[in-house]
Amino acid sequence: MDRFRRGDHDAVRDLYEAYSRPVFAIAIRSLGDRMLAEEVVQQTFVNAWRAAARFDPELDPAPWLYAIARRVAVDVYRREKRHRENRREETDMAILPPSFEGLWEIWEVRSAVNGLPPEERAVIEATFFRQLTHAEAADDLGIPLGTVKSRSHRAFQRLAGFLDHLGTETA
Amino acid sequence: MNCAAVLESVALDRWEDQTAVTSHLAVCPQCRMRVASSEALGRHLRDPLIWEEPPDELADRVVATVAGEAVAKDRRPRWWVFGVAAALALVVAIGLTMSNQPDWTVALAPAPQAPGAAATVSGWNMEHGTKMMVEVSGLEHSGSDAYYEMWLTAPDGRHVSAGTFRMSGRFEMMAGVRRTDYPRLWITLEPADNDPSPYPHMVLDMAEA
Repeated sequence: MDRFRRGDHDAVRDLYEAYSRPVFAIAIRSLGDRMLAEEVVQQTFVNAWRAAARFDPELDPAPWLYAIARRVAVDVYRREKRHRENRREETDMAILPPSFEGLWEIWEVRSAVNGLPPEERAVIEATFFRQLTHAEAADDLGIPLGTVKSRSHRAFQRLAGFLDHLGTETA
Repeated sequence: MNCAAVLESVALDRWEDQTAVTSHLAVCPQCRMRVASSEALGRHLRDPLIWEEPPDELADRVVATVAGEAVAKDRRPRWWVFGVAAALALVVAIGLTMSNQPDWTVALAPAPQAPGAAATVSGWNMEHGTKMMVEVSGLEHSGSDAYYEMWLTAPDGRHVSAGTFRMSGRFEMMAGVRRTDYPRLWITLEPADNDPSPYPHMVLDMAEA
């Protein structure tokens, strides 16, 4: 974090690599627009750098970055809403749409997926996102069916281990 | 089926093994407790938004912007070094003002497609690129399916994006290249189509370009 605070290129890139995907995921979920989501990602890391001096480097940066990213997304949402409705006052701006609910769960899931080994992530992407059967995934990925099954089981157990609280709380 | 396979089947929401899953759940209270979280995990993993990736070039833009801010901060005078005498404060203030002066400023002229538009770009030459403050007026909101994008272009036609915006205003932008290598500044109206190259709908350009 000291290197990040100094604007060290490698440290900024490391933090970006670790957290840009969950930031992008909650931004695109809340705002529904890739361009605005990109703006949120950029501003989140700029704001994080500006606030880095006040961050305890012993702590996990994930909740801190999440809070910054959500705040930036809210600001962008309100700016766009003001523009769409062509008004200057802040009335009703405290009310956020349902797309802002459950963002922490989305952050956690995207972070957990990001933390999988690439070969396991590819199997989970094939079986869940693209909804392929294990046999279809084996054909698509060019690996044996048994390998798909073992990677899928291993990856799912990792994810379930990280995320066994899902569905029992709201963010 | 073992517990892991049962919970994976629940998350996948596939019912080929429904009998085996149901039979297992009937006798396994631990799995019954984890059905809700497995279903929630499965819903998230099937959600296309979870798998969306930020564009590759965004990493360079973020790194250049943060590094640029750090360099700009380092250039500012350390106030505690000075300040022993009130008279020196004025000198420091003048010094601060001077150090924040841009290295260059250019005006962009409107293209025929945006006759009422105008922009001024002030730039600071940084170690790792170029920091810019862009003040734009007279541009309509781009709408949700388009955006404005500022470009720096080299004499051989290579170009890089400095950033995007949706309406007139004042924006800080950062490009990871030197202005001496990429002298032309111009702004286009881009459809939101993931195409990383400039769209020919130019709205502002340097007068001499």
